[in-house]
Amino acid sequence: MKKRKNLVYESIRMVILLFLVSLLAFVLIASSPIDPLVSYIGTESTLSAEAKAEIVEYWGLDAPLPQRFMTWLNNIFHGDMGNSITYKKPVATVIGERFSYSFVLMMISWLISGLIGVVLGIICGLRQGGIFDRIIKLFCLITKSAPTFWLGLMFLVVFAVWLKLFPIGMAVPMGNLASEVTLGDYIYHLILPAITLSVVSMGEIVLYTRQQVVEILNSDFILYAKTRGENIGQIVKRHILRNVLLPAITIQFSSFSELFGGMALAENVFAYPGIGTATTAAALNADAPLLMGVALISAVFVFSGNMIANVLYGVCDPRIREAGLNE
Amino acid sequence: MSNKLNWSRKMTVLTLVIFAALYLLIIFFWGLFMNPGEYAVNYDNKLLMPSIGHLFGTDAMGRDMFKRCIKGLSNSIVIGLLASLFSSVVALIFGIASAVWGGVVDRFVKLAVDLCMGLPHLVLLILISYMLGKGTLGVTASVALTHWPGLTRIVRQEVLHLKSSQYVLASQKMGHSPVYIAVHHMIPHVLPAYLIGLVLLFPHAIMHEASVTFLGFGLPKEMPAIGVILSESMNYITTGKWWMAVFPGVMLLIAVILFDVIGETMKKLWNPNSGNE
Amino acid sequence: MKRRFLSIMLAVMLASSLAACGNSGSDANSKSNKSASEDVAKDSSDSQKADSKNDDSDESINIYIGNGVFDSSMDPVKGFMSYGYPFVNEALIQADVNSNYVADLATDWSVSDDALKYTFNLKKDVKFSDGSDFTAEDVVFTYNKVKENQANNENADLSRLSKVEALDDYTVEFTLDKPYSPFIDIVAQLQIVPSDAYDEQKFETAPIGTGAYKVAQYDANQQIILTINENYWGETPDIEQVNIISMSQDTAYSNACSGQMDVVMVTSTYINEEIEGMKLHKLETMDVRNISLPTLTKQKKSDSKGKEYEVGNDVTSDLAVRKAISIGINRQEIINAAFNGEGVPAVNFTDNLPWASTDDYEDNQVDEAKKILEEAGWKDSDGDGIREKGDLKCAFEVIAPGNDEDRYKLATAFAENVKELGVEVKVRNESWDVAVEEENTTPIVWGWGQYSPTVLYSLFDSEMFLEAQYANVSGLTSKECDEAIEKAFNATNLDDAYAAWKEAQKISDAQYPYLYLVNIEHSYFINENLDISEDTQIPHPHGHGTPIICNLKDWVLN
Repeated sequence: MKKRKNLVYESIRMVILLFLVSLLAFVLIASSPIDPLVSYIGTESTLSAEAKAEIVEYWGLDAPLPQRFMTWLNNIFHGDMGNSITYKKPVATVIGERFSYSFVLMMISWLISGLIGVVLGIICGLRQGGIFDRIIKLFCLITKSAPTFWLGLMFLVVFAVWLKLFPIGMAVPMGNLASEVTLGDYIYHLILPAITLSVVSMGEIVLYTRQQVVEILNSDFILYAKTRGENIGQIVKRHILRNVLLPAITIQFSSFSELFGGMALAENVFAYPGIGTATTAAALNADAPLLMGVALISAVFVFSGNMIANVLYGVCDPRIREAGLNE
Repeated sequence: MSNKLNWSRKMTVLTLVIFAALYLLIIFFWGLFMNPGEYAVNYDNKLLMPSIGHLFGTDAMGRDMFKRCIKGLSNSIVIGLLASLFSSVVALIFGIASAVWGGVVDRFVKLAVDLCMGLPHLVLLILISYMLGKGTLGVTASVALTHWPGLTRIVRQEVLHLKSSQYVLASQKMGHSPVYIAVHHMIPHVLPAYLIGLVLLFPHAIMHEASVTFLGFGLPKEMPAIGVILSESMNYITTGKWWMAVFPGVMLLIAVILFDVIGETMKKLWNPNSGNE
Repeated sequence: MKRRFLSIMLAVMLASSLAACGNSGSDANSKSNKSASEDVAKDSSDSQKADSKNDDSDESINIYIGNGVFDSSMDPVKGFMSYGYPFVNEALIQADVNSNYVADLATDWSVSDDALKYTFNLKKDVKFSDGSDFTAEDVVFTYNKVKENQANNENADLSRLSKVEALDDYTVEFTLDKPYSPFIDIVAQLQIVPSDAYDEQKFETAPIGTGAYKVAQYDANQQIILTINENYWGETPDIEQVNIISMSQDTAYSNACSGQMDVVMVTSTYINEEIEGMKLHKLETMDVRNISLPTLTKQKKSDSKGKEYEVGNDVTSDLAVRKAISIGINRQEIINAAFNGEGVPAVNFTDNLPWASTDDYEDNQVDEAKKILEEAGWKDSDGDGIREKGDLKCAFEVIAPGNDEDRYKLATAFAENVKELGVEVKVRNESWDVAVEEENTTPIVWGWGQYSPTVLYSLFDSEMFLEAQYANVSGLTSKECDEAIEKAFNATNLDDAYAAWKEAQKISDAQYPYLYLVNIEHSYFINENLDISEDTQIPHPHGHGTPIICNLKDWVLN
C-alpha cells in the first residue's frame, strides 16, 4: 500500500522535475549570445524573409522568455521539436535515428560492465588482499580515473590503427547503401566503443560490490553459516548474491547520468554517429532546436534510470536505502 | 589487527598522502609561476621524440610537451580550485540551511540538487558553456557551477544526522539561536566530511574540464591544457607520434588518481568504521 | 565553422550604382597560367598496394574531401557549390583550367553591345537524372526561382536581372536593368534545376541535375553516396560509385592507412607521411590566407542603421606598421614553419585569376622595415625587444578563428617571424562567433579565393564597412578605390573591367589593409590506381579540400 503510494508520488515528482529540467535547459540555451532566429535557422540560412518571419512567429522568438518556453512546450506536445540545422531534418527524426544507435551502445556497455563488474567484485571480495584482488583494484582505480576520451583514444590507436582489428569511425561500412548493411556490420562497428564504455563504467561497480562482499563476510551470520559447515559456493549463493545483486543493479541504474556522458565522449572519439556526436555537433553549430532535443532526451534517460533505481531502493532493505542517499 | 600494525599502516598511508599532496602542489606552483618561454614555439625542434632534453618530446610547433603538460595540469588545478571554492560555499550554505530550517528551504535545496542532477553532467557542462559563448569563461564557469550538488547532499545529510544528536538538542534547549548552533556545533562536525567531499570533487572537476575542452567547447588552442593537448594529439598519434597522447594522458590520470587517493584516505582516517577494511 | 564558407558576396546585394559592360565571356584575356597542378608526390616505398578495395567488382571509391559538402544545403537554388565545382547539377558555363569561362549546358553565348542582353544557346539532348529533358524552360525556372527567393541565395545576386525568357526550347535571353560585368560569373555559379521536379525540401539532400552523378543516399554527417546518372549527356564516367565520407581528418587518415580510402584531403600536418599504395598530390589553388589589419584608430562608428560598433586598432592603424610588417616578414620561412613548406608565398590575390593584381613586392626587407618603423617613431627604448611609441607598445593580437589548426599554426608562425622587427603579436584562437564580434578591431586570419571579382568590392569598398559580416573589416575608406570598383562594374567589356579591378587593388594595396601571407595548396593522398585527371583540375577555389571533385567525371580507376 505504502509502496504504491510512493510510486505514484515518485512519478508525479519525476514529471514535475522533468518539466523543470527542460525549463532549465531552455533558459540556458535561450540565454546564449546567439541570436534566437539564427539559432533556429543557422548562420548560413537561405530562407526568405517571409519564411523567417514565419519561424519567428511559429516559435514565438520575439516573445519574452516565459512565453517562448510555453510555445516550445506546446509544440513539443504536438510532436514538433523543430528542425535541426546541422542535420537538415526534424529534430525528432534526428534523435530517433541517433538515439537508437546510442541506446544500443549504452545498454550493451551497461550490461557488460554490470555483469563482469559484479562477478569481479565478488571474486575480489572473497579473495580480499590477494594478488587478483590487488590487480583488479588497481585496474579499477585506473579505469575509474582515466578520462574516457583518452582511454578511447588509446584503444582506437592500438586496436584499430595498429592492429587493424576494428573499423575506424562510422556505424556502417563506407559506401554501403542502407539496404546492404547487415547486422554483422553494425556489431563490428559497435565493438570498440562498447568495450571502451564498459571498461570506464566498470570500476565503480566492482569496488562497490567488493566492499559489500567484504562487509557481508565479516558479519556474524556468515560466521554462523561457516560454523554450520556451508562451503564458499553455498555462502555465495545463499548470502552474498542475495544481498549484493539488488543494490548493485540499483547502483547501475542510478549511473545513467555518467553512462550518458561516457557515451558522448566515446562516440566523439570513435566518430560513432549517435546522440553523443549529435550533442557536440549541435552545440558547436549553435543548433538550438537539436540541442534542446538532446537535453530533453538525455534528461528522460537519466530520469528513467533514477526512477527504476528509486523503485528498487524501496524493494531493498532500509539499510541500503540509507547507503544510497549517502552517495 | 593489532594496534601497532594499525599505527604503522597509518603512517604508511600518511606518508603516501603527503607524497601525493607534494606532487600535486609542485605541479601546481611550478605551472603557476612558469615562464611562458619554457613552452614557447621553436620551429627547430618540431616533433622530437622524448629525450633527456625534452622528457615528453615536442609537438608540431616545437613546444616542449613536458612543460606544456605541467602548465596545463596547473591550469586544470586552478579551474578545479575555482570549482571547489564555489561549490564549497554553495554546498555549505545550502546544506546547512536546508537541514537547519527544513521545510520550504529544504525542499528548495533538494529541488535545486535534483534539477542539476537531472541532466547528464556532461550535457549540463556543454549547455552552460554554450550559454556563455564557449571559451575559457564558458568552461571555467560550467565546471565551477555544476559540482556543488553532490557536496550539498553530503553536508545536508551530515547536518540532518547531527540535528537529532543530544548536544544539539541540549543547545537548543539552552536557547541558542539556529545561527549559533550552526556555527558552534554544526560546522565543526560537518567539516571533516565536507573537506573530504571537497578533495574528492577535485578529480571530477579536472576531468570535466579536460573532457569539455577535448570536445571543443573549452580552452582555446593557445592555452596549455591537457584537453587541448590531447585533442591536438589526435592528429598526430595516427602517424606514430605516440608521445603526444600518452604522456599528457598519463599525467592527467596520475593527478586524478592522487586526488582520489588523498580523499579516500582522509575518509578512512577520519572514519575508520566506514567499513572499507 | 560554417561561416567560413559563407561567401562575402553578401556584399554585392548592397551595391547601389552600376553600369555598362559587355563581352562574350569565353574569350581569353587572362594571363598565362602556371601549370594547373603540380605533382610533388614523393617516391614512396614502391610496394604496390594490395587491392585495398572491397572485393566486389563494381567500382566504388571512398573519398574524404573535408566536411564542407555536408555543411550546407545541396540545392543550387540556395547556392550549393557556387564557388564553382558542382557534381550533381550543372551551370550554363563553367571555368576551365585557365580560369576562362567555357560552355557547359550552353553551347555558346553572346552579349549585346549595350551589355544589357545575354543570349545563350543551349545543348540539345540533355536530360536530367529523372529522365526529363533539359530545355530553356528549366533555365528560366531556375533563375526566376532564385530571383523570387533572393534571400535564399547570397551567391547569385540577380537584383539587376529584369527578365529571363526562353526564345525557343534551346535559347535563353537574359535582360538586365543595368549593365553588370560580374553577371557572367553568376551564370557560371548558378546551376540549373529541373522545373518539373524541383522540390525545395528534397533538393536539400537529393537534388536532381544534369551532371554525371546523382545522389543515391544521403546520411547526414556520415556519407553521401553518388552513383552514375544514366541519363548523363557526356561520356559515362569510369567510376560507378563515389562515396563522400564525412569524418574528422585524423579518422580519415587512419582509414587511409588501413586501405579504406581512395582520396584523403590532408593538411600540412600529414604531408611528410607516407601511406602504402597512395601518393601525395599537391594541387594549385586560388585560395589565399591573409590577416586583416584595421586601418582606423580605435573609435566608435555607426552603420547605416545607426548601430554603433567599436572599431579600429591603435597599432595597426599606423600605415608605417602595416607596411613594415608586410615587407619585413619572411613569408617562405613562415610557410616552412607553419605548413612544412606547403604553399606559395603571396603578397596579393593569385595570378591564376584574370582580375587579380600582379603587383609584387619583395619581402624579408628587414632593414628597410625597421627603418620605416624607426622613422614613424616606433623605437625600442626600454630594451625589451618590442618597439613602442610613447606609452603605446607595438603589439597587437591576431585571432585564428574556428577549429582550424592551419590558421592557428600560420598565425603563430607569423607571430614568431614578426618578433624580428620588434613587433609583438599575440595569437588567440577563438570561435567564429567571437571572431566576427571583433572583426573590426582585431586582426583575423582570413581565407579568400573565388572566381568572381566581387570579392574586391566586399573587401575594399567603403560602403561595405560595418554593413555585412566579413566585409571591409580593415575599415578602408578610399574614394579613389570606390570609384575604381564602380568603374569595374560599369566597364563596357571584360578587359576594361579587369583593368579597373586591378586599379582598385593598386589603390588599396598602397594602404596595406590586408597582410597576404600564403597561396595555399591542397594536398591529398590518392590511391595509386586512381587517376584524378590533373589536366582538367581547375585551380581550386576556396573550399578546404572539396574542390578536387570539380572533375569527378574524368576520374579513372585502374
